[in-house]
Amino acid sequence: MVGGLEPPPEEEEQRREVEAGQGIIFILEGAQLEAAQVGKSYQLLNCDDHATYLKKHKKDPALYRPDIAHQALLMILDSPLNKAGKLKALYVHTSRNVLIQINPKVRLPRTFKRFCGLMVQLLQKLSIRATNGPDKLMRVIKGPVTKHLPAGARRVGFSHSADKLVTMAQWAAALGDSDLKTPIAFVVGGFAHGVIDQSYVDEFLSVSAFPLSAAYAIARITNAMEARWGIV
Amino acid sequence: MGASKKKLPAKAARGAKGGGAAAPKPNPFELKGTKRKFSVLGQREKGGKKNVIASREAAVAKRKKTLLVEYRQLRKANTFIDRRFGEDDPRLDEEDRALARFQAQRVREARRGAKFALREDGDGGFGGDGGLGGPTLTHGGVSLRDLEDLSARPDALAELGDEELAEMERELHFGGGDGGGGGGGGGGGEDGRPKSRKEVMEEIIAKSKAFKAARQKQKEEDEAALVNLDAAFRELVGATAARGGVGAAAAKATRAAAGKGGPLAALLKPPGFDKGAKAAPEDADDAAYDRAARELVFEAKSHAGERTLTPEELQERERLRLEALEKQRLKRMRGDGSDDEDGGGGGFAARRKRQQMESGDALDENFALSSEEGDDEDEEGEEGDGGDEALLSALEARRRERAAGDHPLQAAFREQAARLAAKYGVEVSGSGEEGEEGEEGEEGEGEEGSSEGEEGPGSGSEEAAGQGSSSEEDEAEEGEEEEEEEQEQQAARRQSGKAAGSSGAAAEPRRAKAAPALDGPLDLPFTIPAPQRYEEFAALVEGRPAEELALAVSRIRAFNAAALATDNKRQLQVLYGILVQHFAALAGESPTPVASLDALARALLEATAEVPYYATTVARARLGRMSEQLTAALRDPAAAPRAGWPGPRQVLQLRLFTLLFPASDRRHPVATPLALLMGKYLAQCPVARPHDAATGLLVAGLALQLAGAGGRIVPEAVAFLAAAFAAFAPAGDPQQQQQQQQQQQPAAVGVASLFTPGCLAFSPEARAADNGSKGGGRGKKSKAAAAAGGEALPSLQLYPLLSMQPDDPACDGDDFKLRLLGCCVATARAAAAAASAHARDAAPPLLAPLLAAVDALLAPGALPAAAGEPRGTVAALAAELRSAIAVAVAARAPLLQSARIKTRAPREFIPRFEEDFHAKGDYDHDRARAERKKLQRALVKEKRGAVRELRRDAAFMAVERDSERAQVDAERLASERRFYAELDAQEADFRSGGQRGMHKGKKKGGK
Repeated sequence: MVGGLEPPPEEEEQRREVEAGQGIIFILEGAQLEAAQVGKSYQLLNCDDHATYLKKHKKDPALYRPDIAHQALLMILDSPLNKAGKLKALYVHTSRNVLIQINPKVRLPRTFKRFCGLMVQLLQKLSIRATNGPDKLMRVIKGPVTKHLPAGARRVGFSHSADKLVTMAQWAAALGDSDLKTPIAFVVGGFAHGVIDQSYVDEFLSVSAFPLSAAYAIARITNAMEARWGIV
Repeated sequence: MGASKKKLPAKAARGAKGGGAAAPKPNPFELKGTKRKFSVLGQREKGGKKNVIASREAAVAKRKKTLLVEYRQLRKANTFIDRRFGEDDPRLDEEDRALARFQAQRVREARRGAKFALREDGDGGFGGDGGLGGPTLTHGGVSLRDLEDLSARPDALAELGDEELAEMERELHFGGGDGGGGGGGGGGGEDGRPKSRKEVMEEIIAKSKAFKAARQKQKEEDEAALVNLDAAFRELVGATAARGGVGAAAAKATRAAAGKGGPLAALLKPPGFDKGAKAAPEDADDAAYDRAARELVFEAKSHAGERTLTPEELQERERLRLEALEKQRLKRMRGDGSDDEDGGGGGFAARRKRQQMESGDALDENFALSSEEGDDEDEEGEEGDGGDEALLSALEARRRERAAGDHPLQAAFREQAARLAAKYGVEVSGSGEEGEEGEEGEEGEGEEGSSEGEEGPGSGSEEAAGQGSSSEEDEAEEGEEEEEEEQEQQAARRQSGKAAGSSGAAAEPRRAKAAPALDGPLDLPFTIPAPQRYEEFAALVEGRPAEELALAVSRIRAFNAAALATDNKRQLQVLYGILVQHFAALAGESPTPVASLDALARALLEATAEVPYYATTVARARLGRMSEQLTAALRDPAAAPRAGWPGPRQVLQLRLFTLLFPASDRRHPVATPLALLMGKYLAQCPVARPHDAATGLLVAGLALQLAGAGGRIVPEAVAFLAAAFAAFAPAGDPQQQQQQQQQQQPAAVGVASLFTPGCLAFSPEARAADNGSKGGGRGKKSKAAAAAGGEALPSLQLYPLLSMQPDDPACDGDDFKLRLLGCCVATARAAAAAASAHARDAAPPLLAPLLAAVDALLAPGALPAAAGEPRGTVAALAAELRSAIAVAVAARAPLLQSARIKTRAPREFIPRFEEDFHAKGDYDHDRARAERKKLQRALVKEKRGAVRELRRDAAFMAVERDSERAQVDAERLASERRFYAELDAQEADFRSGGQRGMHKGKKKGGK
């Protein structure tokens, strides 16, 4: 009987090594990020600040919800999953068919106003660099997103209307090492109303009996995957 | 030529463009613009797509107008500008031009002539008289000239009659504006003239009268309304109330009448209603409340209590109380009840007077005076006067005679008195007065003793029994005690010079030895002076039961409380030393006087707080002496009486010190040496006999108890226990034993045992019985006992053990050993509990040897099959030890505490972006520099534009020059050709004789 003095078992270390290479990819589909010239300046359109402007241009204000994308991105990037390096890539596909690649190491602005500023600059300059490094943290890339996914990646979409209702934790726990050989691409919709373009999604899952917000759905996914990998 | 050809279509296009009013749809191939990747909502496209061809044409046309013209006029001093009318208009032909010139001429003449032409006639208009010919005045769009009559009425009034009109004029038109003063004015009277003063006054009076009348009327109306309201209220209140009016309603029980009365009838008060008088309470609750309120009035008010007394004041009171009691006691002893009334009163003179008055027949009192009344020295001195003897009356002499009789009681009394006198060192056969006094004292005390005996026969007999035993024992242990006492005093002298009473004490023991013990206990005085020597105290408490001992000590302490006198502190210190000495003395007695020891311990516990420093000194001195004794004994254990183990006296002192001093201190001047001493006993004293083992167990228990309070453990005790368990195994085959030990616990091998191997082993017969019966139902039974947690084995009794001699044959018996085993098991349990409570991490290695020894003991043949199920108990102990070790191991924190590892968060990158981004903005915060940059950019742009313009101008000019030269060249060539043609023709004519050549064909085509 050695009590607490036992070293951790060998299998645990092996498992850790295997898991080091595993990861996931997030694709935020249908994010409503659109910059427009309002007066002299360029602004990210949102339904609150630009109600009259949108009306003038005969646009539906319900389709301009950049806050959803902001929340969702914060939820992804702030998760321990990301801190543990399990997020391999992050893409945002906007409703105006702009594909944005986001470096998982980015620290997004916490406030919505600054996020808008960042997005406006990104949509005009097509890339954003880091203040403390040479990397391009965000850039507009050429679509479709499938071109950028690793070969053989499993693409899982999330939709309330999906036929398959799963408990995310169980689903994640059931993933074997063979399933995780290549990163799984999770496709989440970044809109208030609508469905994901299903052209490239392998399977659709519903993770709740209720329709969830993008941020909460992402939280469920990240939590489940954190539990799967034992990230505390 | 080529250049001119190129330009041709452009010109044509321009012409077409300029000609058509609606611009035709541009040729898409001519349009040119930038294509955008992302369409941005709200972005204004600058000019859209440009028509490149058109703009190029425009540029050329502009140059033609400007640059070309300038070029044409280059190096020309004059120009001819034809400013004739219509010359610059190519559309007009000569006739039109002439016509136009004529028209213009006429117009010019007409304009010039009108300035000076006179007006033709007087119909210049209404304003003609003003001398201004310009505007005409109109009214309603009609020229005033056309309105023949200014006063003509409007058409709307045409049908009204003249009177009506006049009326209307007066009313609405200020009376037509012609005098009259105006009837509509407020200031005028009816007849139109201004009011006189009298009229004004009358008017004022009339107004005030009207106002008064209005007020009167208002008042009447109010009264009427009041009456109406009263009537309505009466209706509401009800018929009964209405009878006597509202204010003094005559209803007797309006509440009862509320039913038949109006809805508000209940509000009325009865006729005899007095505001001050209390109404009878309606229900029980109200009555109870009233009663409580009345009671509160009579409730006693709380008064300020007596203030809390300080400890000093309390002590003072206690002392006074004791003195009063003592005085009463003395009076009681004198048998003088009448003095009780004036007991406290009077000073020295009064007492003297009283004695003198009573001197005739007051011998009883004198007789009763005891030597205990030591504080009243004056009296004593007076009594000691030589004149006393002479004053003795005949009665007194008779009495004495009678007292000196040979009654057996008297004889016994005398004997006792003599003993007492001897004890106090008073010469019995000294001077007469002294002897008498002693006798008197003895007598008095004897009387008291007998009286007390009568009062409580039970207690008396008890005392007697105690006395007897103590005296016997005293004699038995005299020598030893003396030796120890001497040692004590020497030590006390060594370590503190201020230890009181030590100087005179050297001579004491001899006298103490000489004094025999009192047979019967004496009455305990209330005021006892602090004893200066141990002998005094010993004499005081000699033969007294524990309660009286406690009482005596408490009285001494109360009477000599430290706060009451300067010297009392020192005296209490002396008392403390004496008490400890007395404790040690009592502890050595053979049937241990438990009650007395308890009483002393209690008293010492209280006294320790009063004289802490002295208490510590005393305890340290005693511990030091014990340590010295131990060292001396260990030098030659065989020669020492107990092989170094402490005797009952030491053991009980150890126990006393564990009680008196705080064991939980980390470092304490007494507790620390005490623990060390006990550890030394356990670790170094050899155990050859079961009695030694029992003492060791006692010390181990004490040590565990002492350490437990401070949250410590005693490894010496655990090791001792392990060795003790090992010693229970029979010594027959030590090799086998060792083998077993090695197999079971290799760690336990290193423990050196001070026990003689097998010294505690049970007798072979007992073990044989165990082996024999093991096959039967015993195994089952023992198993059941083990399952039940082990029945308690009979344990050792403390006080019998203490009074037992080390070489007592009972010690070697199986019963004693069984008890020893039980004690071992209990102590081991305590040790295990302490180890797992206070040193959980150290518990496994600490308890491992103990467990090994216990396991070895469980091997077959080691334990007897005696009563009490020793095997089951030992097995239970083994299980307990095992579980304690297991729990301690399980509770160990893991070496790797993952919660404490701080994983560093990966580095994050902050995106660089502007708050208000402009794609083409200038982000220089230095305004001047930004402006300069802007200007520089503008300059560069301008420069490049200028260069471009110049280049294009040059190209244009080159084209123009080329075309000009080409024209000149063409003209020249043409004239040249003409010339040569002429020459050729002449030549041909010349050759052909004017026939225009020889060839027919040429003739035809030629010009």
